[in-house]
Amino acid sequence: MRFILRRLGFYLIALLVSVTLNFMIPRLMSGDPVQLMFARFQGRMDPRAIESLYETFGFVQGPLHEQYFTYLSHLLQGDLGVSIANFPIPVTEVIAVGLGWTLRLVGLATVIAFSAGIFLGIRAAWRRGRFADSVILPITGLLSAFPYFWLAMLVLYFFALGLGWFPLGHAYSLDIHQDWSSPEYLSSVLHHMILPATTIVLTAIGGWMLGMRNNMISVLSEDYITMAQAKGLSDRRVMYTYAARNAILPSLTGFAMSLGFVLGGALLTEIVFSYPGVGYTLLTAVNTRDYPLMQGVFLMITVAVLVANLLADTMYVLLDPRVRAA
Amino acid sequence: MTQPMPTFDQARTDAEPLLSVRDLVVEYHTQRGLVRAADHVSFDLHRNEVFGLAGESGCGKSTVAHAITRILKPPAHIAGGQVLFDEVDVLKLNDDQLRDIRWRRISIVFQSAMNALSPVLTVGTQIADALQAHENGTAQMTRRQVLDRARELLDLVGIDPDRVNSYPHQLSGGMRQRVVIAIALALNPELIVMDEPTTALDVVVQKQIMDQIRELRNQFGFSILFISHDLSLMVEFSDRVGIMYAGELVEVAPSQAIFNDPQHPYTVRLMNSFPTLSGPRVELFGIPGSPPDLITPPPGCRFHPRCDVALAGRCQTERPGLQPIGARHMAACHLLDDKIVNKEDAS
Amino acid sequence: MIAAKPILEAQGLTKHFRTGGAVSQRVVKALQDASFQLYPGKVTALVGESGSGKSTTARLLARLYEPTAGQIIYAGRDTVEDKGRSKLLKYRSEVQMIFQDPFSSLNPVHSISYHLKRPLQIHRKAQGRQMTEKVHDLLHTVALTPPADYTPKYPHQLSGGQRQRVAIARALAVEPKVILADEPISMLDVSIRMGILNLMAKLRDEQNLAFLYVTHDLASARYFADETMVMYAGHIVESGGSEELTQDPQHPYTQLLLSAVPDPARGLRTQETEIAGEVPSLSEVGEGCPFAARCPHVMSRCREAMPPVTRLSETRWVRCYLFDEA
Repeated sequence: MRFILRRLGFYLIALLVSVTLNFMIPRLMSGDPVQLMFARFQGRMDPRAIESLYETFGFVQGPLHEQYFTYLSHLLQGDLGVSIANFPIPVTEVIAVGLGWTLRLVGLATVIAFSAGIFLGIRAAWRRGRFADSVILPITGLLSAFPYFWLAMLVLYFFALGLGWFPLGHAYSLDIHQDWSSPEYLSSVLHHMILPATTIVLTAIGGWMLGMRNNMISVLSEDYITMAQAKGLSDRRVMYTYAARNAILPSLTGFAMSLGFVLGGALLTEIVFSYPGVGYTLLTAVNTRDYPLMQGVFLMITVAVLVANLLADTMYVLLDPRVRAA
Repeated sequence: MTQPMPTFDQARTDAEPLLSVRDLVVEYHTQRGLVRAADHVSFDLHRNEVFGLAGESGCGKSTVAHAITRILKPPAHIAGGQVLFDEVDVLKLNDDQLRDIRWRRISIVFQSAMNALSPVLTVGTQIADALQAHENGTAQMTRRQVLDRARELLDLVGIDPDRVNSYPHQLSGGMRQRVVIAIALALNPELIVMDEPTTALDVVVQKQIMDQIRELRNQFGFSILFISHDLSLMVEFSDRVGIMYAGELVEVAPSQAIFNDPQHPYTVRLMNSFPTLSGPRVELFGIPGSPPDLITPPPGCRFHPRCDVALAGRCQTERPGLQPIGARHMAACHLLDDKIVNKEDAS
Repeated sequence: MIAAKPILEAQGLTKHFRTGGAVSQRVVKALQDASFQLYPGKVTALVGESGSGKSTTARLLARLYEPTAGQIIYAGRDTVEDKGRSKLLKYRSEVQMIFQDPFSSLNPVHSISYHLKRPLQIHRKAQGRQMTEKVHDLLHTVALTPPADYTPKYPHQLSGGQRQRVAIARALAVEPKVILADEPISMLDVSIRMGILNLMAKLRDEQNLAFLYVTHDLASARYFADETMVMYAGHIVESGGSEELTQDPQHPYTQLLLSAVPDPARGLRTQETEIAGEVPSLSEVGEGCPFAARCPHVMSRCREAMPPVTRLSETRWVRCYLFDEA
């Protein structure tokens, strides 16, 4: 418990530092950043947007520390400002839409890749030199070495363009009304998800599988495994409760951290498949110089990574009793 | 090259031995060649007896113990011989049959309990496992019953039963070893193989554990195959002792005989390597040289290069077999030829 | 006969280790108030179970740690002033250490010849052609002959006993006056141990070296050492001539230790009294005698303060209230 509180404290400090940096950087530039942006837009900015920009950056009247507190209070209220390119939609709303799609696609794919990778890794280690180990492992390894976008485009080319089995892009058929209760909509969403999800799984599974397999192999050489077998326990029990339970610890923390990055969106996937997730949102924001939106996304990613790290630490404490003693 | 079949110990002529190891051979391949870790090892172990297998590192005692319980890890494999447990050859059992006798009839106490227990499971779970893995059909134990039995077992080995929910790292080294012993006793086996059970422990804790084991033996009457390199401990604790050298069994005798009247030159020199706390202070010498390379062992008797009484000729060419040389006393040495007794005489 | 002056002396030597992070601190009292002398041409044994503080004592004398309190007096001079490389080097050339593990105390990537040349080079004991001669001499001293067979070899090509002999040769290279041997034979095969102890006894006699022999094996202390000190939980509780101490132990802990050692020469053992308890953790030791919790003769004052040293004769002393007249 104390361990977790200590980590929480550490992460809160990290968060504060990044938020402060976020605050400081525009101010370190010489000149007025808002005016600079206005110049970029070649004067084609809604004057109200300029106002809100000043607000967002905390360029209100008053000394620096007042600005800082205003900025912090805005953040705490969940007010990330207003998106410039999509004025007057607030940043939080824009992100929310992208976040939903990202969580569904990338989240699901990561979970599948992890679960399948772990399961295959266990089998590969248990039966070393047999099918899973000598055939599947090298294949997944090979797949993870491919440049992702190349694999994605290949898949898109053959299965969508060539065979026409899957759509070429987007999260759902644009002519179907967005309604989660409609089975038509649901099946369209699923249909659109399959190719991008598959490409993510194919490239990610190798890493998890290899990691788990290697951990398993070192755990399998431990005496307590021999003891468990000598006790006459079934192979299944030894493999899962004794071996995998110990071997999975490092992979789990890796998984928790990769969940943090899920929120950053799988940028390449979303570009290749034109999937409207957070990555796509971020890309558009960069292209349109939509600073509030960019800042909002970065902040979200920062928080997500820190939360994921905290989650990983917590999980370790829950799963490994030796850490609790510390 | 086959050895003359050793005549078996007829100590308790009323009962057949519980465990009968015959010509056990264990080999493994290395880059440099074939290693014979156990070479035609034969001995008997009777009911309610403690048989100690002693020797230095690399002599093959652990290998024999692992082979008997069939937990040898590759690349080591059994290349010959029989292990008759209650007349059944353990080496020929299939996985299911093996699971049947595992733990129920033969259990193991490993060296350094530090590693014999999974660090992420409670002690209670690991005891319960052994209990639950062996219920087939008859009277399935409820969770409650299993837990109660686990607590009972902990109490039996002198641990507070409430520790059933503790994790291994929360217990001291001595307590962990007691847990491992409790697990070994869980199904009331007839034979417990103890592989260096106290080597990693301090001498006072060692005494506590050995006393505990003695007490449990009095209570439950199981046999023990006791492996150790600590000859003093071995002689004190065992009924009979077998000395191994370079993969072979070179002498077998009741423990007091090994201590007071060792016959094989290796045993004699070995006994001369232990400083004692009582008795006069004598100069000790140990044994010059080192154990042989098991890939190319010396021809003839494996001990002859280090033996100070080796006979030129015979000891270098002919391997001695284990022969009875007295009441319940066997040794493998050419110099003892004149002492060999016939099976009928040794009663 | 005891030489008039001790060559290395410890006075009130204490070592506390601090562990734990910023939040929780624990003090491990590894050694408390140890005082003893080492004489040339004599072996002094330090006997104890794990956690008794014996290895810490050896390392303090080797100046691998700095003491928390107390003095180390070498050849009449307090070594606390010896800071700085050249002074430390001089000390190291006169006080050498031999370690327990023959497998890890030699560097696997260097040859035996290198191992023996290094100390000669560092302490400038030989140069050029003399170097090889000296190396051969050293190997002769430790009975690794012919030396030319051993110099080109690497540690993994030698047996445990041979490696330990090389470690001894290495220590002898700098012509020390004191050798601190930390469990030098516990990791060796039984039949090899006596050879090493006999070698060290020979060196004691021929070169008039002072030995500190750290061990958990009371029987080997009786065999090899002239004086024996018994340690428990960081304190030296009894000291005296080895033969006298092992045949007629006075401190209750020494008696316990002796009764626990397996000794077939004592004949068939009857069931003896239950030995209760275990060695206490060094971070939880209180003010009184650490053995109080397990002592069959415990009195109330045992828990209040550590008993003072009581001299039983010119060569014997104990720290136990059973003998304290006051």
